[in-house]
Amino acid sequence: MAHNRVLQWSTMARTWWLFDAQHQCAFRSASMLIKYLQGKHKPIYHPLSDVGDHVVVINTADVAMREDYWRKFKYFHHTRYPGGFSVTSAWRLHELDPTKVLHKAIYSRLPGNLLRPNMMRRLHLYPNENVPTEILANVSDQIQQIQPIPKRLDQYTEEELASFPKVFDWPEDHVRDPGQTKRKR
Amino acid sequence: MAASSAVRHFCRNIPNIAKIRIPLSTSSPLREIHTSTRCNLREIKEETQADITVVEGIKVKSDRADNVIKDTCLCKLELDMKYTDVLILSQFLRPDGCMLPRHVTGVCAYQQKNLKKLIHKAQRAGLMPNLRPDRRDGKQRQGPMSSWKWKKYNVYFE
Repeated sequence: MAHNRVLQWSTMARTWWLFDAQHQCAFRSASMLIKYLQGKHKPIYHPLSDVGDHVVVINTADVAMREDYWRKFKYFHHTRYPGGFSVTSAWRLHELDPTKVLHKAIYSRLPGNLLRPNMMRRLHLYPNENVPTEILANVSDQIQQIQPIPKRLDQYTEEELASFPKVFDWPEDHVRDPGQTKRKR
Repeated sequence: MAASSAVRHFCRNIPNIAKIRIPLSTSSPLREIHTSTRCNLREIKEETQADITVVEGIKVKSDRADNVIKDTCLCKLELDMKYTDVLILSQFLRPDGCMLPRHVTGVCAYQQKNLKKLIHKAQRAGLMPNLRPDRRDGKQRQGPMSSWKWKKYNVYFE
């Protein structure tokens, strides 16, 4: 029965999760992370009980957005004074604070009740891999990334490039001109 | 080449010339004028030895001859290509990042259009940084992504 008791302890305790936001969509990962902040992954979840976990997100400066959402996605604000309306693009906000895009995405997706400020306090965002050791010491598990990181062409070795099957062969009359390698404008 | 512009002007007067599909290199009025024949896969080499410059077209064996899939058209291979398949997309590019024409690659018109879209996405996502045209202002590129405003951040495509 001791094992069952330990399971209960771990359910009640606040687990610390690590999430690497490298090349991950900011909005999709926000929708996934609120599940852990609210505690919806636990069987004891109830909207009135505060059972959420801590989430440490690293590399938030390298989050990705779909197509040209960096330019098109806007954040609106009004100060309630006349002429106090302002519009900021996602790339501009990201330039000012590389954790703000993910912060706002998660904040807007959480339910707007009195538990929300406490859930946001359990979210720790870091623009790169430099996390304070007292925070990293608590981390016990990591959350799987939602999107595969694409491999660049210059990250393949020459052997891999040569051994990959080719779709067509050069035609017989093809002239390989060394001057063609870099065309000058 | 002054001769080529004259040939182009000559072709404009004959409207049916576009309908006849003749390979450009062999026996076509569109052919550029050369002092020697430009058939077979050749590499141009220049050697200079004391006042004498020798320009040679040396026959080269294709480096990809052993590794080629015989059904050339991409439609027959039925690939589900994405913009992340840079190993396939890079085969259709010159070293300066321009797309190879259809009479070299042998793909159909639909696939050429599809490849154009995918290559644009791959370049936009910074997946082929070593196969890119130079910057227009002549400066060196810093890293795989552009450095300008929203273009410097990571993007993905569906």
